[in-house]
Amino acid sequence: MRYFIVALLVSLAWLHQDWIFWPLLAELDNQKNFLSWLVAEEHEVKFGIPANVGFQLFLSVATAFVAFIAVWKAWPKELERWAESGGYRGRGRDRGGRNRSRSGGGKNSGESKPSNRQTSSPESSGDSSDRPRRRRYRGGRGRGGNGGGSSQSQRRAGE
Amino acid sequence: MNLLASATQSSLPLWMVGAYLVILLGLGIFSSKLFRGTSKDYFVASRSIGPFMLLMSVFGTTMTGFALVGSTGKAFTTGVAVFGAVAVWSGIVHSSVFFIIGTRLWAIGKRLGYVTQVQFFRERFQSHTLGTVLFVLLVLFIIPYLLIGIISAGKFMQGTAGLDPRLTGLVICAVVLTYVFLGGVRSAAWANTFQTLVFMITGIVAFAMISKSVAAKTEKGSGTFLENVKRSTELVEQVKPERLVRGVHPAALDNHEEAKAKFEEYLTEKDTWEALVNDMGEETAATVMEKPKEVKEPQLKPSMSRLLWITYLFIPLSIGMFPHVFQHWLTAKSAKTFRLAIVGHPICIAVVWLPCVIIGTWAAGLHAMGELAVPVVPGTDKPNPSAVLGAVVGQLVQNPWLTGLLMIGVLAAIMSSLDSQFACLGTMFTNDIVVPWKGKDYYSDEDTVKIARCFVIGVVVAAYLLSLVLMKTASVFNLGIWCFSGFTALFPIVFAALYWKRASVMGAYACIAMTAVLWILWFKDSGYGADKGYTVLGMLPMAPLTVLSAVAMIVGSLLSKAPEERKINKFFPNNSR
Repeated sequence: MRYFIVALLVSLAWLHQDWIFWPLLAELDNQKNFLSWLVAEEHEVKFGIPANVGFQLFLSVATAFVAFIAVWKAWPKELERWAESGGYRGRGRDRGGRNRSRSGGGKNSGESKPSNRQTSSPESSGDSSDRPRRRRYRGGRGRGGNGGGSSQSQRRAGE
Repeated sequence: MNLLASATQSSLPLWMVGAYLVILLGLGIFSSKLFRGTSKDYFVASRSIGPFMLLMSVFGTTMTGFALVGSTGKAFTTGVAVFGAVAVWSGIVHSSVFFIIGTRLWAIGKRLGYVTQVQFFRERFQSHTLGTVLFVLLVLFIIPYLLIGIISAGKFMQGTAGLDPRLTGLVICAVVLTYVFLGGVRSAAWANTFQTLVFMITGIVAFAMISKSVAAKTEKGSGTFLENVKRSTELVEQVKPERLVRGVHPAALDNHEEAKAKFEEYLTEKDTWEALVNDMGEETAATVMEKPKEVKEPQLKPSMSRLLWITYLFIPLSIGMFPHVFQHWLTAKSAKTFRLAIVGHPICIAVVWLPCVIIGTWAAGLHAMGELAVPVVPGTDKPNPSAVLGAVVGQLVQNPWLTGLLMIGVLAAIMSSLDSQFACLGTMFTNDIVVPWKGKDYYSDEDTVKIARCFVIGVVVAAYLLSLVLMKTASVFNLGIWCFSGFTALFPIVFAALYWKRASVMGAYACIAMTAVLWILWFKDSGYGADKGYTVLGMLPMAPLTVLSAVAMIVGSLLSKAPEERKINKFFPNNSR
């Protein structure tokens, strides 16, 4: 289904290059047929707007329609589950931060950790969650020969 | 009595604007009551925003004053092609970006607790320095964009109501600061929803009233709404047909044939004149025939070239790198919240842009007929595109209610972007600079909110002061437009970060370097943005810039060491646990 949506999207982008169609539509416009009331030349005013603007307006509606099909039939449901399952563990900073003493020991009490400048942890963002901690270490299954990731499993094996 | 009535009428638009600002402030204060006091709520509204508010807030954030004033002006100079080139492309690209980038970034942000782009890039590319470089670039690109908003609002109110632009800037900054300070992104989202509804309604009401006034200038006069629209457009077809097509209008073709015949006649006369001058000298030749007056070779140009039309595709890609849009994405309650935004965005764009573009073409027709006087660009005799909408409303409708509504609409469009940008810069300075610098556990949640609020005040004050300094220079506008190119050129970084595991920090640096070098080179080449029609190989500069930055991203990543899979698996739903 996703390939179909991509194909529809590419078609929209292709249809947007409308100069390909105007000569064909102009020919149709000269003939008497059931579409005569609608088809027009690029510059012709139909329903108060130039036909080319009408065509582009139709493309806007078509884009919304394709988007509707995309969210209906190709919605990444797994993405939501994945987001909800959560790798992020909040540290309850709403309650004053892990490193702060609640009895007056604040940032002036000299208790702060040294600065962490290697990489900025997302947890420093102030985003908090009430989800409990499950595992202290990550990557402990030693996948694909990742030496760095197997430390916990090695430790356990050693125990 | 009449004097009193006229005095009341003339001040009515300003009273309307005042009432609007009071309502906006009230809404902002009300929404701040919903503030939960946590940094998560201040930065991403506790990820609780629903579908309608997400659509309105993201749409309002992406639409600046350009959507009303700029689109009308651009249609005045270029014609209806601007609707397809900007609005329709934006509909297609924005919806796609929301679907493939927005939902994914939301999921990663929720799962890993990010509130800024830089946090994501630092972790994804395992480089603190890259994050800092991107922080600097994003801030540098967004500041001119922000200044344009303040200065445009000031100039617009000066042109329509004679207000001092410094006062306008001060008032809108104060209003926006109040509600962003109190409620953070949540208040910005509420205010944006209101403002977006206001400027959408403004466009439609202005369209209906202006169509009546334009139709009144035709032989048949005004009638029903549809008749008015039809008669107004037919008027343009008679006097300025080239504004109604992207390519070449048949009437323009006829005119071109005539001009070409005149040019060929001139060439023949010129040859004869030169032969006579050679034979008998200029004085004697002048007794035989009159020296032909120079005729320039006519050139048949489409309103917009096909290549230019295609390359407009690159402009809306910038939305993928806007830090303030990123922050709004993160406010979504769930991934499903994006659905309405993905479907509704193209329609919303069409609703705002179509009336403005059509009004712009009507204005071109009326201007050609001598029925509309548009103020000129200082120092030239060219009409100022930014003044077109104001001129149409002021001269054709002469209705203080509509003037007031238009002022409100333009301010709403400008302020709906400003508030998100202020909130976003405050968030970035707090979470990307201060918190990592002091250590992740140094500040409590309350302190983090306090710091963010201080930064919001600092950013607003700095932006206002800068706007005062740059109020009289046009260069900031030129720079602002070029900043869009910068955001677009950085788009390959976010796309690769999300979908290409092999994308490495060196690739990102290569992409940034390519963007910086070409951007500076072409910006300088365009006379620092003075040449508005500047193209590279017939394309908008951002097209080759984006393609080359994408190539640099790919080559840089392939030539450097691949990132460790175990460190980046958490960014890829299929591989993380």
